[in-house]
Amino acid sequence: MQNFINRSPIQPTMTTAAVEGSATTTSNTQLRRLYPGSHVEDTFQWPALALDDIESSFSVQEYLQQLLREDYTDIQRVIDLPEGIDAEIWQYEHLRQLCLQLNYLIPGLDSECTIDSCPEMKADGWLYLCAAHPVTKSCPAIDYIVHTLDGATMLLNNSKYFPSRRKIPPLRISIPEPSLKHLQAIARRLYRIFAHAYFHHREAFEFFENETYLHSRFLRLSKKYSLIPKSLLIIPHSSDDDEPASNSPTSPAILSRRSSTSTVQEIPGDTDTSTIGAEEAGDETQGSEKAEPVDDE
Amino acid sequence: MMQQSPQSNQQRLLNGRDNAMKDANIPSNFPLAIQSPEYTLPGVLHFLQQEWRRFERERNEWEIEKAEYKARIALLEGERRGFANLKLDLMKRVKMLEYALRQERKKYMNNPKTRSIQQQEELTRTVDSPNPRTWDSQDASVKLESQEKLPPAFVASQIDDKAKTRSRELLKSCLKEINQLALSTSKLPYTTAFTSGFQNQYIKTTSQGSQDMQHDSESISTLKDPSEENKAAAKRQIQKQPDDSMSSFIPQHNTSLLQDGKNERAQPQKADKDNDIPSTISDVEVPDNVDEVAMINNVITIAKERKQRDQCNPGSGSRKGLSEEEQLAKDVQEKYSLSADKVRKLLKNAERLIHQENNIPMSSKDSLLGKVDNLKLPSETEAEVEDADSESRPKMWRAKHNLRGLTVVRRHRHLDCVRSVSFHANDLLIASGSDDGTIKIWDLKNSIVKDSVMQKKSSHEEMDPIITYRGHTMGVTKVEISAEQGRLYSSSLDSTIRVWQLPPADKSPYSPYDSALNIAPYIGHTDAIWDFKLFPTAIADYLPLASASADGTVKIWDTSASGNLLKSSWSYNGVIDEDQEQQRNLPVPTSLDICHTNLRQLAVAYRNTEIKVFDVETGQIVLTIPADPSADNSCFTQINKIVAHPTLPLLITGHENKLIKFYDINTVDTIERTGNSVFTMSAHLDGVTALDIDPSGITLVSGGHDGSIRLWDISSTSRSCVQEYTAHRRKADEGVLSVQFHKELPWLVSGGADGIVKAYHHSI
Repeated sequence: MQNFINRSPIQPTMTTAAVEGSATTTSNTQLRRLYPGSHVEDTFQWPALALDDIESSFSVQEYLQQLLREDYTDIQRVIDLPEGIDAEIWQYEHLRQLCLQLNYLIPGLDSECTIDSCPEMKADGWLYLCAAHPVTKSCPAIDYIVHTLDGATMLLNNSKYFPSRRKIPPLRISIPEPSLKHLQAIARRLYRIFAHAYFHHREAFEFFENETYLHSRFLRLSKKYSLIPKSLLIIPHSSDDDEPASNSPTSPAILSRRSSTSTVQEIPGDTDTSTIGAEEAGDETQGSEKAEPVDDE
Repeated sequence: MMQQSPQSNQQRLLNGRDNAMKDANIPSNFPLAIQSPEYTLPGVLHFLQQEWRRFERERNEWEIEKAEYKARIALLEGERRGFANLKLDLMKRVKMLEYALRQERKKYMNNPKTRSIQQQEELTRTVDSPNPRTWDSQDASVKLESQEKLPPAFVASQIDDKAKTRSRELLKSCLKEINQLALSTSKLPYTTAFTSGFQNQYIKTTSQGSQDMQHDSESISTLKDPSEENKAAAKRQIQKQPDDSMSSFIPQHNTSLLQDGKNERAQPQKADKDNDIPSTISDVEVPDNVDEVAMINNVITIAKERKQRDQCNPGSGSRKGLSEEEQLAKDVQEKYSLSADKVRKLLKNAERLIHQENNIPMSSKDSLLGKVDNLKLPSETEAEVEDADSESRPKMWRAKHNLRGLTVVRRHRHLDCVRSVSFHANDLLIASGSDDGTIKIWDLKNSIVKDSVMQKKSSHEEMDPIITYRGHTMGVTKVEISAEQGRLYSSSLDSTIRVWQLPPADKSPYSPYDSALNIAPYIGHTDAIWDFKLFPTAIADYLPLASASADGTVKIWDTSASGNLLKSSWSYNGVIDEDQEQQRNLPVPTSLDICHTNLRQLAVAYRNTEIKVFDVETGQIVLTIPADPSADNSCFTQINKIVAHPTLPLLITGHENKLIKFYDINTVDTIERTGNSVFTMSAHLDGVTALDIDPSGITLVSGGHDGSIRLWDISSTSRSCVQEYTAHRRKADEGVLSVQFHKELPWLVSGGADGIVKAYHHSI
């Protein structure tokens, strides 16, 4: 994950260097590329560009990654919708980045999250069934995580659902309406990976969170765009849990732990939406998905 | 007619056999009917109407009868055709058996055996070879003699009773078999209208079928197409007299006779003239009928026989086609001791006759010429079609492969830049490593199969990976599949090399996570690993892997061991250990490759554009190619990629400053141990990032940050660009990041900053 995130966040003078950035492209002094043989600390050390100066098909992704490289701890700045970008595109790129960075969580998990230690995908009394199979079933936690990540990556990479990643606000062809439902389904499922890691592999979770602030960022994003129903957010997120300093969430309301009645009520709603998403997904082979309450361990 | 009375009318009624023309009298009879009181007008009218109806009915009946007869005729004709067909098949079978026998004999003869065995063999051959003649001549010899004026050889051969009985037995067994086969093909066509299209179709089916199939399956395959064959046979029959269907086989057995002779001639050790009865017969036979038509006939039948033989023989395909005609001409020349010119003329004549025959009128069917041609027609056109086939096949092949260059077949997506792609050595498996920290395996074969099922509709659609490996904690820089070990190696910015087990072939996309696939990390480098290479063969009892890292070292790993993996580590100056600080300032290796001309040598490119060739075992620097004087030790002039030519002592480097350079490492100054640049070309509009050479060593492919892939013909001295292809979109300032040819199959794969892995079918 270090390739996105600077070990030492770049000084603010660099972040404001929009003019300087455009100058660099023309003057050809430092190109934004990796040179084989470079030291790790020299990789991705290219000057920041203003969004409008990034002239590529992946400008939004580049801009997001650039924000993260500059200061991944400044969640609000990373989440804030940049001017001129479609909100859906912004969500989409964030989810892509989430999937991308979750790839780096797996190596930390797979040593301790095995079929023996976690034969079921559980988090704080919830049992999640894996939607990647023709018939949803209970997978070991690591399978669930890998399958969910694989499925989400495939879906996000599928140009049928997400044909364009450009920022082009005047055209507004960005993301087709039906595909927006997938974003929510993806977000809801990916959240469970965090939940499982938090409740069962706290150490790995904390380590990862400290390096990436990924959960905090994800939480903020899903709140802002209501990607996940609040009742499903089961990880207690106080300021001392996920954010060490300045950028604590504006409303750090800790959700009360779910009562058994509230979870039961949640099931049908969750099932419905995800079923719709799965039908739309078509070849994604994601069947209906259920969150079932089980007895606490 | 006007005088006709009602009586006559009544007479007609009684006779009731007059033709309908008389109905025209009805109006003229009308006034007469009034005169006679017995006949009232309505009565007469009624009568006339009745009459007319009767006539109509009768006429209808006749027509129905006629149609019935026609149908019966058609049925009988169909039956006859069926029989003719059976005979044809039977003939084919006989030919086939004959051929097999001949082959056996040839095999026998080719064995260096004693003379006595040869003579014995010769004897049996003289007994066997007249087989086709005897049974045939027994059935049709009278006809043959009268119509074809065939040489007395046929009559003479009748004497051979032993052979006759034997052949008859053979024939009987064949007949039985064919009857069995033909029973199922009872559906006979009733139509009598045949188009030449049918015939062509028939010919095609038979020729195609027989080309590919074994002797046995050939006849079966022809039987499989009863309707078409029947039609074709019927056409032949119609062109001939129906009753002398037997004569259709005359040329064939004639040919077999000739061929027996010919084969004998072809024997490496010629038998004695005295024993060689068939050849003498044919030799005698032809001079008797110096008639040119007969000779043409012979020529054609020989040709036909050859074609048939070739058809029977799956091995001698269309390649023989060219030499065949020459061979034919030679044979004929030899046989008739004619000049080459004359033979050519004969052949031409024969051809012309065949062409004439296509338009030949039915009236000439009784003439010998017409008959000969008729008989020739099927097999000859067959031969022509076959020729056309053998011509068109390479044409098609060429057309397909003339599509020079690349056809994008598949795209595969990562979440971020794809830094490296690699093919499996044998299978159509692609591994790709990306900045998203994953390595994905893509099965190209499955996607192609899916493509053909979906009628290539979605040839540009994305495919899902069969497995995603997660384990690196930073971007993956290089992947390579080891087909032998069934493993995948990957290096990353996180300074580790990881080894993965390839998934089982039947892995489903969402099978349980198997952490056992993650075999081991190679930990030893202290900085990003940018390139590594697996050696194709073992050196000193272990299979090495060489890696180049930003920590300044090249390390050799033992991929077969499980304990101490690291074998050796070389810095810029070789094996000598230097203190860490100094090493930090030395040029870093950027890329490496194994010299295919000497698999113990490893070429390493450094950032200052110096290339060093190491001996893998000793770690000594075998050769140094000095740095380009214009290059400083910066990343802007560095070598991004080095590849060694698969067959020549040639190193090719791709530079950040858009150049591709060629180095000859053979013409090296042995004292100075330096090499020189042979050729430099400005290859891309931006830095060259990726290089690969196809297994034949003719084509170089390069990819650059300009997003294009270029193919270079490096077999010529000009090293011209054969094709350019815009392959990947740029992300940041990066474009194409990796290209690789498949080692065996015509495929190319590329990975780029846009996160897409593209597979191409190429034609180089």
